[in-house]
Amino acid sequence: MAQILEMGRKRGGRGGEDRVASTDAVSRWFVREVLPLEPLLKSYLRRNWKNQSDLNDLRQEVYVRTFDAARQRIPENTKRFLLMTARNLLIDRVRHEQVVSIETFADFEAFEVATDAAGPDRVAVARDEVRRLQAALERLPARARQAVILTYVEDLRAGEIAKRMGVSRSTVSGYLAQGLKALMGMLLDDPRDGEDRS
Amino acid sequence: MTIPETADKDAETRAIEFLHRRRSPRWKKSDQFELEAWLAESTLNHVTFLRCEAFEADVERTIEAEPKRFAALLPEPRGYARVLMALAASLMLAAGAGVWIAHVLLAPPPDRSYSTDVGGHATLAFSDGTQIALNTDTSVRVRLTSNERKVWLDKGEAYFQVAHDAARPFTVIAGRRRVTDLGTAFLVRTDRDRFEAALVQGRAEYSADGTKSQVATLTPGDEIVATSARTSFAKKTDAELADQMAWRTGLLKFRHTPLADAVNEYNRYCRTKLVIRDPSVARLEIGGNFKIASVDEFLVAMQVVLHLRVEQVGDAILISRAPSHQNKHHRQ
Repeated sequence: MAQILEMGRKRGGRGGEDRVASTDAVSRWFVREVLPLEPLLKSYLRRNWKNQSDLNDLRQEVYVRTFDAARQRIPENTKRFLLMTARNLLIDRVRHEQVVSIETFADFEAFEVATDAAGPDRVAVARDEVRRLQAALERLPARARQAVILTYVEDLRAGEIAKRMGVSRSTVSGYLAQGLKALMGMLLDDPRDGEDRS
Repeated sequence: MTIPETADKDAETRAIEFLHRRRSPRWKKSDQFELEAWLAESTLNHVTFLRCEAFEADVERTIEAEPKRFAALLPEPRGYARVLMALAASLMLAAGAGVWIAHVLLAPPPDRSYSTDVGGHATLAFSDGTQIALNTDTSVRVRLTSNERKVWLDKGEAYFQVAHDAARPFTVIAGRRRVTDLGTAFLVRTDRDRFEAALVQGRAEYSADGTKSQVATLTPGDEIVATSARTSFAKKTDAELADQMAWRTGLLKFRHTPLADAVNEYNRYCRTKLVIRDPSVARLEIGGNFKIASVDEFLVAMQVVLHLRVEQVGDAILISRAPSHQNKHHRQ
């Protein structure tokens, strides 16, 4: 156990105790300010990168870079920082291509004005969220949906869910993972995607 | 929707596994250390975990806002031949998934079927606020789209509490007959040749053949009983309507009810049929509230109060006069 603790501290950064504390602060900032921008980020990536199957990796890489940078200093304008990081990543990736057509900084200004008003509200649960979650659950494979609902609606323990579904605990875990992943894919997309934002 | 299979578990899968394990009361300090070590391994692990954790929290919050609606998406538990639900619960019995108003990105959903076994009972809850309670041996098909709301009652009995929506009338169809909601709660029952609809609250329109030519507007208390031979109208009191809907609380209520009718009612809920051969027994009147699930209590009451004999004959249960009474009867 002592070994694991040390490993944690080492990776946390140079400052030992200080670094661990700031990682918590960065985590809080990340959840509070970066994650709500995911639909925006995804739209941006989708519009500026031809290969759609790369999008998940790109998104993850943007998050990693953003998080690492924030460990040094938490940015003042999160949205701008996130999109700039995304843009730089895309530029890195197409360094050798002749024609580069990625939204430039100037576009961000208009972008922000258009989307600020419609920013996701994490505080209240809109009726729309309920409907979207329902629709998304509907599209899951039956077992995955069952695992998700038994976990979050009925709030059953893993053992009870396993019994109810007639499978092992690890199978339930698998169904839950499948369900949550699929829901993330469906729900963290901007519902307004496809609309002309010009 | 398919999730690509990977040989190693990717960060997202591991994150979700940790979240799942962490919910268990068996989560120990050593588990926490294991999680923290994994988080510390790479920023990717860390941000992935934060993302999954935040998403899970959002899902929980959304579900908590309207738990009944989501509980209704569960399939029927296996092995339950007969289920009695409290009115407050909304469990759903479904052949497939539930049906919702078409989202702008989804194609219109196909019609969904729901049915209960003999002795079964279920309550369906829909996203527009409508609730449908299904009684024994009942089968419905539901179509909810952004333009219309239709339910075909193929057999059995259901109680509809319809959320009013002027833009989308709600219609229940049994054969050619239909009842269209104008903001209501109403009861519909269909047997082979008999259609019965009673309005509890609000207003509804009844059409005998689906056209506008034979139409009646129903107000609270109105009941229509229609067979191929005739249609009759009656006005029911609140008490009578309540009796008719007692099945929703697991009861059958009888008032001056001929035993034959009471037995027919019970037979709707039981696979083993109760049989009366003696016409004088069939004419006996009974009153009282009986639990649907306890047909045995009903049979004991018949024996004790009405001095009847109850015996298993083949795969049915015969109700007849007890021998001593039979003799008395003959002597007269």
